[in-house]
Amino acid sequence: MENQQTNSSLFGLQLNTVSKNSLITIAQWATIIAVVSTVSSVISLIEAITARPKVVNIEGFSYDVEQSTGGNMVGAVIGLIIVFLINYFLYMFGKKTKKAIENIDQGDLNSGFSNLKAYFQITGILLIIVLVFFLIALMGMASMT
Amino acid sequence: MEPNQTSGLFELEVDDISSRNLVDAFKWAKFLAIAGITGLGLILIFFLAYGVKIINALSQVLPGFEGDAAFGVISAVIVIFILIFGLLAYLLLRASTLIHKGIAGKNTEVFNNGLASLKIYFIIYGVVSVLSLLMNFISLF
Repeated sequence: MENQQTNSSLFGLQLNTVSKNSLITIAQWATIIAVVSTVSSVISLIEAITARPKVVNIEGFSYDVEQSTGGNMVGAVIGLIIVFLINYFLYMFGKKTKKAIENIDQGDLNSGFSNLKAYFQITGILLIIVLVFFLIALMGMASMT
Repeated sequence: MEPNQTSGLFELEVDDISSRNLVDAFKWAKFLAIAGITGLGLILIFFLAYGVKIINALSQVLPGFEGDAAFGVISAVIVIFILIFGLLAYLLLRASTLIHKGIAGKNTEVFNNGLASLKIYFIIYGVVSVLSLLMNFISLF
């Protein structure tokens, strides 16, 4: 017996009005998230650049300590490049998917989904890298105790 | 016109290329969701085990930040954090599972349920991002 919920065309799964509405909302929010995250990262970089040097008082002498500023800067720039890369794919997913639905363009839809794949892939790989560093740090701490 | 109706010969569809892209995308999304749920669980266990020590360490850095009130504030922050990000991880996991099932079974209903979860995920993620931007912006001044 054929499943009544199955709504497929000859070659693939056909998108109906509900699918298109969901995809348009997803695409709009994906674009917002991409822009907002990028702006947020730029603000973090500005904060790192404009961070005031700490004044430390040791035995009556005051020193300007700038060691945290340099570290923050490098970290913020690397973070900004990664965030730009991730959000570029998220932005392109949003843009292409919205355009595909508005113009009924299969090529754009495929391109949009390809960008979504790249977005999740890069995020996943970054998470693996973070977990590896975390594990190394844990092992280092365990060997010290 | 019914809302679920599909129309025409030249409509958009999840063809072979889209299917492969979506299946790959949501394999990674599933990994992210499971890693997120595991991470949140570990944060919770870590806080339950070392919560008092963390508060004591913080009270040395921040004078006046001690006692039951401090524990309450930290607990509330952690609970809110776990609830929001737990919900996000759950929605991403649900979306991954349903979209994968929908594509495998060519079932539009299941696929749409997956998209609905992904939609809520993106909306919550968007609101959190906007709030985070606002806080970031405030901290500039």
